[in-house]
Amino acid sequence: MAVYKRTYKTYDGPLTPAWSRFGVVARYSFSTLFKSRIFTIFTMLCFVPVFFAIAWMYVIHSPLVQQMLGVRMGSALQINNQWFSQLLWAQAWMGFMLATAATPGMVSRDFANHALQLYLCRPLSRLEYLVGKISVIAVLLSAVTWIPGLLLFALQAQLESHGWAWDHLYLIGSIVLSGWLWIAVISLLMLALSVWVKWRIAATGLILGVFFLMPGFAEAFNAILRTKWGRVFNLPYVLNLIWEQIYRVDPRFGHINYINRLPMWSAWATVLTVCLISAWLLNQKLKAREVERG
Amino acid sequence: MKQLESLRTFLREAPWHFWTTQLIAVMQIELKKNFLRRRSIWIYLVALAPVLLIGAHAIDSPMGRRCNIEEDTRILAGIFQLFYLRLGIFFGCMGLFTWLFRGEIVEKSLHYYFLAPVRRELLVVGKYLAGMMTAVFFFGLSIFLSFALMYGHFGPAGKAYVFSGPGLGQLMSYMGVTVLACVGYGSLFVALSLVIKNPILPGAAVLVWETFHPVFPSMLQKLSIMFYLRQLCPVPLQPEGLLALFTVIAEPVSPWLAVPGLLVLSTAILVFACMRIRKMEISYLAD
Amino acid sequence: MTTNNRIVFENVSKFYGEVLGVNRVNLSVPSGVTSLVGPNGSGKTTLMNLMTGLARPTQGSISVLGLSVDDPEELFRRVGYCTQFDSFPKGVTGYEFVYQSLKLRGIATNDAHRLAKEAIDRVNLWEVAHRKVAGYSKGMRQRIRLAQSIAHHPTVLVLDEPLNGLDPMARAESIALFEALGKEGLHVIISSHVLHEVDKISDQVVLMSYGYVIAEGEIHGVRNEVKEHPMQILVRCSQPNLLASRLFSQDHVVEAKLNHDGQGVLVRTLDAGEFYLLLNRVVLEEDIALEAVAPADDDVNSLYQYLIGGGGKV
Ligand SMILES: Nc1ncnc2c1ncn2[C@@H]1O[C@H](COP(=O)(O)OP(=O)(O)O)[C@@H](O)[C@H]1O
Ligand SMILES: [Mg+2]
Repeated sequence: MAVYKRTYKTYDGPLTPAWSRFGVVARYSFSTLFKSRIFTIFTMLCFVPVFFAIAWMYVIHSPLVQQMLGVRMGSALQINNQWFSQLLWAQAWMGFMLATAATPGMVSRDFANHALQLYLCRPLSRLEYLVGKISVIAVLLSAVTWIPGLLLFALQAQLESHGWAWDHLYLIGSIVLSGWLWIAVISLLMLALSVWVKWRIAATGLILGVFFLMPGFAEAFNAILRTKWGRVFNLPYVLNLIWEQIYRVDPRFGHINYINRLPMWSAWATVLTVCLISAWLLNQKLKAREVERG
Repeated sequence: MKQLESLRTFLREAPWHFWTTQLIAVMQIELKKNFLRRRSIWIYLVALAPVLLIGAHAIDSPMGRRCNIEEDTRILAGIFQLFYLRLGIFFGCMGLFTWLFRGEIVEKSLHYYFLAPVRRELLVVGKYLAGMMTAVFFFGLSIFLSFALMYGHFGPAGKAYVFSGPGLGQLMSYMGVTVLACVGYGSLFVALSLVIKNPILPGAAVLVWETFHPVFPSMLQKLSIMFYLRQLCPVPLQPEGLLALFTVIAEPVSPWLAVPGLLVLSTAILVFACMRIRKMEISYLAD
Repeated sequence: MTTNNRIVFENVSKFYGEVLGVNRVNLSVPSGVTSLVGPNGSGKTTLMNLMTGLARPTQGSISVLGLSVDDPEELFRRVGYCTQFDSFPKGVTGYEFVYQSLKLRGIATNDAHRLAKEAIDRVNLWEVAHRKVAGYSKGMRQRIRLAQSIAHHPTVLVLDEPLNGLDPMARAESIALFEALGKEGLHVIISSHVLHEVDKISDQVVLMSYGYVIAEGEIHGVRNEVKEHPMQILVRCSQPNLLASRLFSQDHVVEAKLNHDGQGVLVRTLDAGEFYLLLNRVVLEEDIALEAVAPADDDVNSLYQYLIGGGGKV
């Protein structure tokens, strides 16, 4: 064909920067998620404990309100590291439920509609795809865990003064660290399980199984074999251990049984193993393979 | 009176033989799926995990050298209530029974059933029965093996406990409770899977409900499957710590009430499922 | 003409939420081969799902040979439906697939084996019948599903795009099979998005577009109806009244009316070529100033072109 006759041109207009492309995946996942009214309502509900916490803070710091309500708050109800630890632990589980509702569908849709192949044959690597999906979970979890945590910390510092903030400065680190630990474990594990089984329902069931059935198995293990090591299968327990360490909660007052607890190193090792296995699974299973016979 | 009469005619003239044939065909297809497919492997794992543990224990302490019967009986009771009833059978039934219909929708094969001259209600019943048989087989077998290993490794003492002591009766009770649990949870999850696209999340809510129902008023408690089952467990658990909440029975109910109560509850749920499926449409949109 | 041997739609509408599936369909389908023809998304599948109870009408009622679609037990002894879903129960062989569905119908083992073999033979798949369906090619899958839907000797056979994915040989064989079944007195309902593919064997056709039935009847009638479908042309000019009166006296002009804004004439004509010649003459004779001449209903025309014409294209 003569060169002058060639009128077809490939697109050579401006491109968005390559590093930002994962955002496309994230954006569309978000818009699909919040199309569901139930999910939106549920997300709202996740902030309810935070509002209660704020109200609580005000009541504690306002003798006037206490008088009006006819209660007297002793010093036993101090807001301290334990208070933050427990509040954020509760929030973390809220976030867990959000992620359980969101993750399997987010992945299974891409598999079911053969979208994964399309994503990956564009200049979007598997890693970018993953980062896109993880960022969705990270944003959701951040919004219900460490961000409100920091706001509450600021509010408390404001209300308390007298060097409270200075004494508890480490809590900033605890809040952020615990938040991101949770995000890392939850997002990797849930994505790995979702990518592995591909079906939304099965993946949701599997996630719940890992978090609730496995602990039951772990306790049975301990009871029958008279040991404590079965607990390494009990992910909530292990995470709780680490959580209380991060918040410097005195083991005697934490809500984990003081006797017979696992040593900290094994808790960290378990979490690390879970993350590594998840990463390995993702590497194995997140592939754009398809067999279609015509 | 007239309605009663028409019901009588219906019952007399219904093509029972034809329905039975179809029911058996549905069950055959479903049973094959439940037992033989590679995807069913998880249920083998969930059901048989405690057997492995108890097997390990039996090897670890031959002839009960490092344990005693009372303690092991208590442990078995704990495992039955906390692992089997609350988790294993719950999750097992959740997986099995939601997959009965949801699985067909995911695999886009439900229309083959809907295009057969089979009453849709019959389909629900057939699938439910097949699920029941699967669940009862796996968990019944698992409990039987657990029991056998637990007392078997005591040698003659264990034998005495089982055959001249309370052992056999306990085994029967365990089996009975297992069957009832499958009946109850099975109907619940079949119904849920016909109502909601992703029945696992409400399933989790049910788990929370079943776990915490003792703290609710007794009227509401009766709407929980665990309420009936707990009363039928043969060996009471010592309440300690958080477990106290789950093991204390506020208002005991006799087995003569608990069993029919549970059956009535399950039947009602199944009837609801049958009503739902009549209105069901096929549309395999990606969910 | 009783309704007991017809498939009757009475004022049937189906909405999927906001989306229109089909709207106000009135049909009465006699036996023989009937083709539902229309572009993608025109509501063919919806109509078929409605007549087999896989979907429920938002409004209206449907009866198949006098039976309600809510009574699967009676209905599906008479009806076979080969859907557009290219999916199978997991792990079955072609033979098991057909056999299982016969068993489900309550047919005794021996008969089920005989009927399964007969049906698979009819679609020429006996050689591969004992291989797993997962390993079939698209055309084989299409045909085994066809076998499944005819195995129990239905009197109404509903086939959703049964020629999709077939090679020319298999296509010819399938068409011959449908024709034979139609001759045997079945109701065979076939959907397709190209009319010429099925028109030779169709006793009647139903043309659909955007959820509406736009033409229906015996094939020649529909063809002529479409061919004679008047074309609408909007003429914008200085003296619309005068033009209209001159045009109106012609045979091929069905209708000439003033456009609603009074600035033009809307003409419906059966012969566009003749009309343009006439227009030239009138404009010259009467000294009319023309602003614009344009077909007013391109959409409908191109649709008919698409449905009827396009002889060689698929
Ligand atoms: N399950 C469904 N949910 C929502 N819309 C649907 C569904 N099925 C079909 N539709 C819509 O109904 C219209 C008709 O579709 P369909 O009957 O499949 O057309 P055809 O088979 O002629 O291609 C289309 O606009 C389609 O998008
Ligand atoms: Mg279609």
